This record gives sequence, C-alpha cells and structure tokens, in this order.
Amino acid sequence: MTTTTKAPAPQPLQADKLCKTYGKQSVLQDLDLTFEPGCIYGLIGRNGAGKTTLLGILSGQNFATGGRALYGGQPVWENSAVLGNLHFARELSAASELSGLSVKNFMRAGRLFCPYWDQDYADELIKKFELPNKMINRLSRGQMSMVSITAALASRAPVTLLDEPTAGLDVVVRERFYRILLEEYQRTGRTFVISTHIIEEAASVFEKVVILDEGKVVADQNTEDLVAQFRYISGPAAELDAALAEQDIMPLQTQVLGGHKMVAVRGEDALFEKLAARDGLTVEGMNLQNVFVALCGHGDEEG
Amino acid sequence: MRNLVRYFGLTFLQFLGVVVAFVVLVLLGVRYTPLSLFEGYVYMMPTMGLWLAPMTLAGCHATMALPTYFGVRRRDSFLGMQILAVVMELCTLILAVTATSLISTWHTDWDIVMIPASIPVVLASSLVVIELSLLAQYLPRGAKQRTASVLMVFIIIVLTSSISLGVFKALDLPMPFFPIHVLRPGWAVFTLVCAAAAVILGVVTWHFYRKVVIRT
Amino acid sequence: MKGTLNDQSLIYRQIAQLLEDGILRGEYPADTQVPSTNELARAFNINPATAAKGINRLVEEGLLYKRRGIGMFVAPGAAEALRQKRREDFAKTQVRAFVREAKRLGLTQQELYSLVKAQAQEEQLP
Repeated sequence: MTTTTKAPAPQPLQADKLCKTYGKQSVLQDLDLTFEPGCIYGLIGRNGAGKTTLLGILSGQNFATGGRALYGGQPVWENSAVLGNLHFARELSAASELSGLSVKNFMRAGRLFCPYWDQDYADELIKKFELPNKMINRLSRGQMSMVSITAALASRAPVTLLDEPTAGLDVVVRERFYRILLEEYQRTGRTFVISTHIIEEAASVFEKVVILDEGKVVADQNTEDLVAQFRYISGPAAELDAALAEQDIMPLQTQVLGGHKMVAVRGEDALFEKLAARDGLTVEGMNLQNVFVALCGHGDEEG
Repeated sequence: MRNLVRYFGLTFLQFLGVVVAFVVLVLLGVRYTPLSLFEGYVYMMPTMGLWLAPMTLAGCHATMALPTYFGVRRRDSFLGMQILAVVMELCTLILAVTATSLISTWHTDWDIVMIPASIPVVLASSLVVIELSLLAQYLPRGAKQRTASVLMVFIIIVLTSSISLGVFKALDLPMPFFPIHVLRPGWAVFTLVCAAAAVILGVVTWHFYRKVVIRT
Repeated sequence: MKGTLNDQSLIYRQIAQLLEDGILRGEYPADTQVPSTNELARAFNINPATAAKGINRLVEEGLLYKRRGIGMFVAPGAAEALRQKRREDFAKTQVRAFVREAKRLGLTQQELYSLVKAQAQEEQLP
C-alpha cells in the first residue's frame, strides 16, 4: 500500500478580470468567474470560445495578459503553494509535446509531482481502461483521452479541470467515465470542471454550467435552473407573433415552416403559463443542448 | 525539490549509461584491438563534452514539459534543468580525462590527452552550446529554426575539428593551442568569455521559458 | 445507465416524479424509507446534487421527512396528498390538452362526453 497524503478540501477558483490576447486577437476579455468548491461544473462553448485558454490560465499552465487567476484568494501563477491543488487534464494528441513519452513515465511523473497522487487508484484505472504501456503517440485517440483522465483522477487534486475528456471515446466508455467520475466525486467532494462538446449526454452530471461565448461568460448557474428558463413556443405564425408582441419578448431563435413558426424564448414560469394558456400555442421545454444553441447560435434563422 | 532530483536523476542516469558505455567500448577497442577505428573515436573524446550533452538536451523538451504539466513551478524546473546540464557535462569531461589518460598509459606515443586543467575551459564552452540548444527549444518558431541551424553548423565544426586533430597528428604538424590549460592566458580569457556568454544565454532562455505554455 | 430518465423535462423533476409514482403505487408505504440521494445518483449516473433537489422538492411539499443519520422517509398521508395534487394537475394540464385536441378534431361536447363515458366504462371506473 503506497502512502497517500489526504487532499485538503477544495477552495474557490476564481478568474478576476481575466484577459488573454494572442497578438491582435483577444480570446478572453475582462472575464469574471468563480468556480465554487465541491461542485461538478460543465464548461460549454463553441470552438474558439476560449474554454481551453481559460482552463489553462486558471491552472497556471498559461499566463493571463490581464487580470489574474486566484485559488482561495491566492494567485495561481508560479505559486507552488497553490499549484499542487490544481490539475489541468488536456487533450493529448499525437502532435502534443508530451506524446513522445510512455504511459508509464507519464504516470511516474504524476506520482512524483502531484502531492496527493493515489497510485493504487491510478493502477486500478489503468487496469479498468486497459491502457497498454506504449508511447503516447502510438495510442488510439480514445486511449490518449483515458491516459489524461487517469492522471487527472489519480492526482486527487482538490480542483480538477478536464478539457474534452471524452474525445475519441465511444459511448460505452463515455458512460463508464461519467460513472467513475461520479463515484470519485461522491467519495471526495472534489471540484470538477469539464469542458465538452457532447452536451446533452453530460448535462445530468453537471450541477452547474458555465457557457462561454466569444471570450465572455454568457451563463453561470445551476444547470436545471438555467434550462428551466427556456421554452420552445410554436404555433401559427400570426398568433405567435401577436403573443410575443403582447408579452414584449424577443425570441432567441426562430424557425419558420410555411405558416407555422417556432421560437426559442427565455423567461419566467409566469410568462410561460400565460403563453400556454393561449389555445393555438404549444409550449415545450428545452434541454441543455437546445439552450446552448439558442444562446450561442446567434439567432440563426432557418426556413 | 527532492522530487525534481529524482525525476531528472532518471534522465541523468540514462545519459550516463550511454556515455560510460561509449567510453568503455572505445577503451576496450583501443586496448585489445589494433583497429584504427577506435583511434578516431579517441580523438573525439576531448571534444565530446562539446556536443554529447547539448545534443541530448536538445531533444529533452518533453522531459522538461512534464513537471510543468503536473504543477511544478517553471522556476524550479528551469533550475533543475540547469543543474542537470552542468552535472551531465562534468561527468562527461571527467570521463574524457580518465579515458584519455588511461589510453596514454597504454600507448605512450599518444598525446591527445585531456588534462584536468582543461575541464573548466571545455565546461565553459560546452555550457554555451548547452544554453543555445536549450534556448532553441523555447524560441518562437522563426528564431527557433535559425538558432537550430546555427547549432547544427557549430556541432559539425566541432566534429570535423576533432577529426582534423587526427590529421594534424598524422602529419606531425605543430599545435599551438595545446595543451588546453585554463591558466594559460589565452584559454583563461576564452573561458571567462564563454562563461559570461553562457550566463547571458541562460538568462535569455529563462526569459522565454518563464512563460512557456505546453503545446498539446 | 440513464434508464428511464429522458431529456424532455428537468431531471430533478423526473426524480421527484419517480418517487411520487412509487408512493402512489404503494411501493413506498408511509414511514418507509425511499432511496437515498447517493443511491439515486448511482442508479441513474447523475449528479447527487440533482437527485437531492428532487428529494427536497418532496420534502418541501411535506411528502417526505428526514430522519437524521438514517435517510428520507415517506410522510403519513403522502399518498393521499399526492392523489389530490395530481388531480389538480390533471385538470389543469391533461384535461386542457385533451379538450383542445377534441376542439381541433371538431368534436362537439356531446361527442366528447360519450367518448369519455365509453372509455370509462371499458376501464371499469366506479
């Protein structure tokens, strides 16, 4: 039995007016965000929204061009007191700087440098994921993800950030991953922040969700509270337009099919009750993926 | 950090293994075979300090990146990297001195001996090469290519110079630079200049390394 | 596995619904224990906080009570209270949708009543 130092309770991880520019391009602008301790967060956003950059800066793997990243009130950058509490599991690829290493050496470094590393747990996960001891660039995409996930979980870091952990994993392995994640969460109460494109599948795992759009935070709240604010309203175009005008609502998305129209709308329960009361209109709920597209699709009109 | 020592220790031991194996092989070859192949390698020994360690370190950025990935401060891993380089280099040089003096006791006509007093000179100059090869890895793309080419040219020069030593010997030409002794004024100045250059290059490397982001 | 949970309505509501159905069906009689937050989270692969929200909904409505250190139990009279609540919901949402559909189909009130009566007799409503 290898000795494991018990990890402390997680603390808030905060982005304080974070800015990041690459040359002329501004990826993050004045971003304020706090990841509360002990929650599982989903971080969703379109490609290029700045998710990876944000996670990189918050974990000290990247530096901010403005503002700061704070853990428990302390700056993260190059701060050895804090860095041991954070882990950023990235998407490994064959082009990665780390891909020339073997799985074994990779994990060995984890054991050496992560203060709360649990080798027994790492061994268990390597067995469960059936990871061979090859060079990382010789693994399949799914196996690379599993290496990244294994190191992230075995690090036992109080705050763990995962960037697209399910890339390349088939649906069976993805479900296994969510299960393993939830088990670890129930065991330790660690903070997890998971960025993903596979939104709907993972939505039930996220207690809270942060939506990033073009370097800005568009939503940051309990997942179901957010989803509850949105509805699809459909019906004859004339009636729908009249209803919307009467309630003074701007739809987020519109879809037209002949004389029939469907819109995505944000509001309170009372509003939706009123709309549902109208005979010609149908009011339906949305799921997280629908909400995301409505908020970040920028009002694409179809039909 | 003790863990950094353990981590780099593995890299060091691997390097040491290779150098020791090389030296032992050449020694055995020189001792027990009349093959002039090994003569050529012997001529390389004094100068191998100039390219062995740098070339090994030139391909090490995965090894350097890993501590950062797992939350080690860049300052700590940079320091560890520097210490590793110096230790690797010293071991190479000590082996070169030992090997060449051993050979000279077997073949008294060979005077391509590396004397201990040469160590500071070669160390200082090799550190310049080492810092350059480290710097090359952390420069932005364009500068990186140029530095890497400079490095390649330099290494080729060093390798050919060790071969030309053999040529000089064969042709019995006088060699004004030998013996390389740190206290000879020319070499002393050279050593100091190299040391200064190494320090400057080290600082420049740190400037780029302190904000390095691992590419994935 | 996600099992019976779908993405058509909020998960915590589905959890609450699940437990309510169980209470109504008599699976969880008064003063018996319902599955815990962790058990529900594990069974459906969901966040325990979401499962907890569903359970808390029922606690707020007085259908469940907590016994410290042990778990959540069905309150006495919960089944009856649920039946009452469901009746109100039934009238508001399902009957409304039903009648609107009938309207769309052009049924008269009389035709509607006879359809309902025929079905009720078939189901042997008392």
